[in-house]
Amino acid sequence: MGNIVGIDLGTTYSALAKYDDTGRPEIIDNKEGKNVTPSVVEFTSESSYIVGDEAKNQIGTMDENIAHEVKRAMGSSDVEYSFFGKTHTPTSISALILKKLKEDFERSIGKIDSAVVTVPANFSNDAREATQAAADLAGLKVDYIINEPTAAALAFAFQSGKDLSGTFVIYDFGGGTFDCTVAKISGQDIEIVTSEGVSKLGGKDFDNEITKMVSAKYKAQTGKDLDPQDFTSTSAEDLKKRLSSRDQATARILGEVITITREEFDVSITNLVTQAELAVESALANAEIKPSAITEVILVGGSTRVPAIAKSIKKIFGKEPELFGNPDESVALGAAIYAAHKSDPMLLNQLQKLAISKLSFVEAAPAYFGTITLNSEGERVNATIIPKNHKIPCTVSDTFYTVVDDQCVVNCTVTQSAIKETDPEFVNVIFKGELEMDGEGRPAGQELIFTYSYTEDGKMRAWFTDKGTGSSIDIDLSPKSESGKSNNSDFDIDELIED
Amino acid sequence: MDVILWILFILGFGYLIYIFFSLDYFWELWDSRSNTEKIVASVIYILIFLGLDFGDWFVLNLWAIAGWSAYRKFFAKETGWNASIFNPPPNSGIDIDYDYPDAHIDQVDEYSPLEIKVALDDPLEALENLNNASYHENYTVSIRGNPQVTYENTLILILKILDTESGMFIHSQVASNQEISTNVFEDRVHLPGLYEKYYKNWTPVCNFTPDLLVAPFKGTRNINIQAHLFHDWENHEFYNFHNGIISNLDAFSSASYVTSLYVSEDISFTTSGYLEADDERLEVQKAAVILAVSIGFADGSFDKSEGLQIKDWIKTIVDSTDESNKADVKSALNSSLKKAFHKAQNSPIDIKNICNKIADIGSTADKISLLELCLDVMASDGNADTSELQELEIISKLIGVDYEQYSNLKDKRFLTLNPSSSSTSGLEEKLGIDKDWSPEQIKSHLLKEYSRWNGRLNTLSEGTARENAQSRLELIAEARKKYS
Repeated sequence: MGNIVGIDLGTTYSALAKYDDTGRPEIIDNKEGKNVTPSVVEFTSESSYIVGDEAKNQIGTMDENIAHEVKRAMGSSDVEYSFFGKTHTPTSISALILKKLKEDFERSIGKIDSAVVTVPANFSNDAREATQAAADLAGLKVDYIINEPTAAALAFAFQSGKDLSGTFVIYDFGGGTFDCTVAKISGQDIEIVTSEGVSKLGGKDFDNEITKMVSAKYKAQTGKDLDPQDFTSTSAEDLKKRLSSRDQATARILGEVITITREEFDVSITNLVTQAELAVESALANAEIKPSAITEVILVGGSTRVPAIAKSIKKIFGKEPELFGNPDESVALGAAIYAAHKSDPMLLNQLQKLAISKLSFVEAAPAYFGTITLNSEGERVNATIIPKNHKIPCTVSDTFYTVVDDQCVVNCTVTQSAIKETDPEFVNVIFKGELEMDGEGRPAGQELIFTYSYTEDGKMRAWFTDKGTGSSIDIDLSPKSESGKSNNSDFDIDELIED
Repeated sequence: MDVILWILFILGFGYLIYIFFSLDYFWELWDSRSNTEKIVASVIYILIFLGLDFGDWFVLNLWAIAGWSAYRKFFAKETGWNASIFNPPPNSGIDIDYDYPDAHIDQVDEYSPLEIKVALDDPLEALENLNNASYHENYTVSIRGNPQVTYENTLILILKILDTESGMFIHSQVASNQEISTNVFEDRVHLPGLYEKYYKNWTPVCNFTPDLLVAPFKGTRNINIQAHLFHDWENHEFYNFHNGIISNLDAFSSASYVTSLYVSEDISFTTSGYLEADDERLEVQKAAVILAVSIGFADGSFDKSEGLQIKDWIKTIVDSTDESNKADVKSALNSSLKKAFHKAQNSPIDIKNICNKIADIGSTADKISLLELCLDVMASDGNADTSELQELEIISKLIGVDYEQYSNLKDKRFLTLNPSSSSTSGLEEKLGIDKDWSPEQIKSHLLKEYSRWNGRLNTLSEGTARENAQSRLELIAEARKKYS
């Protein structure tokens, strides 16, 4: 039978899970025997690189050759890195990380037949395209990209062992991003109600706060500025992890002992935790659900181990959160389940098919999709066609009209925004094109039909039709590498040789 | 037996004719003829009756009725009917109130010449809604009497409104009530043929709403309503008007011309006049400059960058002004800038009076332009000072700009600020928190702000704008901590 995998491409750590022969997902350790691989790449020369723990250990000493936390810049066309004279993008760096995971798997188990990669729920279309491009560059056959909280919900429902029924919150506080998803689960029926995310909120921000505190204390004690090489982000991360289980932790820097208490740490991250609280409240408001109506809060992501998070959740929901399995692994496990659910049945044995036979889930549109049009006063406005949280798959149409007599061209835009936005300046334009019309002799007010369709696995299409003549353009907006935007690198992955 | 059959035949055939060709058309024919014609027709009819046997006479009648009815139904143009009391056709959109009990008191006879009047529809209702901004007065134009037309064709009545004092025609804001090539008010009403007919009662022919009209000047104006009546047999271009004057001067001396009717009335126009708009706009622009200077001084000092911002704005206004007015506009705005600057150096500018005036005379577009100038001045030094924000909030409220609109404009400026200048001082001003709000209101406001900025964060490219959006989220979290 085939090898079906799910990959959690994280900001700080990545993981890969396989859907095993008995119909259960399991994490596959990397070459180093670890369940998670640091999303860090160190370039050792123009043509060689290292991915993982070894590269991570060099942070603070060889920073000029290291790329990390690139996920936060995925989809940004103006972010580039230069190592040994070669230009790299977040996409190409991510491709190296994916390639490492792929090769480690293939070395120990075999060729990957089908894979699913996860992204944060609030990832823009550009960022999803960039992730797809990274997978293509890495030589992975990835047909689906799904949201991380959805994968976590899948893992939870599939593996919980309990007969679940109710409304759940998936609280995913990872290394770089935060997602809060509300899902209705009944057995293995999962309905995603809404998701709210913060793109720059994660464990790395906790590490930065610790670094600031340590720097301030070091300066206060020694009168000198702290050299980043003496206290790296890895050191900060270690300190953070120790504070999760102790009331205080110390760092020894050039003979100086710097002590940070848990209380000090909690105060320093209050602003970040409050941002997470606001995102949770926003998700609950969108879902029109009160905190008291939530059955359980499921923790996902390593940063949920921080005690302040559990306190915050208890403050909002009035109950302790549920720690389900290893929070570092649930997203990858869920992705593997999804991959099996979507894979060619020929790749599955009977047990595998049976295990997922009862699985069903309904996703929700992760954003508002619209178009830029003119209102009755002739001002440019963004009009929503598919609202956020609309059940998907869906196909929605709206009617617009030409504005002048003999109009021959209609500007067709597809926009994306996280909130219902009417101002065109605050939306992402993910497609811009023109519909040519046979406008001669036709007065203003000709009907134009704009139709958008969105599938549960993030594939989107748009049709722009002149109702009078039937002429139309048909656009595929699914994440793909042909967009060109994510591929702007002079870096050829096949040219590199691992150290 | 023959008689019975004849009776049945008559009844059956008669019923068929009644169903398909209403006898109304026959009566219409009869009514439309003059007395002489009726007498002649009657004589001929009796002679035929005497000359034919009953059966032939009867069949001839039936075929005549059927033939005339068919002609009227399928071929002839619509004409009025029912002789002396005349109604506009059903599709004119004007309802006649036949229940008016004293209609006969106001009636005229066929010898009365055609006359016109205009009246406010419901004076009592208008009085009750004096202070109701959403109530619009409506005036109806009515005609009565005999137009003395000599042809049977339908008629067209073209309505114009002249401002007596200025001698200029009233404009319309509604495209369907404008001349073809200008926005001068015009209404065209199609009337049925009035040959040997007249309006016994006052008959409404059209109406207008002053709130949809624009006079040369605002206020109570004496207007002259002009109704020109033509036979509608020419190409409609024959009756085109341009700026209130008929394009084809021959029209008034042509055979198609019937008459012109005039009536005057005093009517109140609440919209700024089209000749006034320019003057008022300049007043608003001068006020904008003064308020911008006030914003510049709000933080205690007026930076060069703030002055340059105002200067650039003035330049844009002057550049887009008519050549004939450029010098005046430039002089007026520069003078406002200098005076405001000198005033503000010594004492604060009284923004309340200025804002109240703008609220009264400024259009929405002018108010937005004013706010944008003030926001640009605020943001020109890269910092959002608390006192500047406070004053901006006051200005936006006093001039009556929608809060959402103001917030959007403000948010765009925030994205351009210097990220390193972001501090938690002036939290309430930066986040639009009213200190009089309850904790729940503040919480709800902050949640809304958070959703907005978090949503926008993902649409912004890496750089200053994105950093500022991120800073906003941190500010909101700080405020949330403070007020929880």
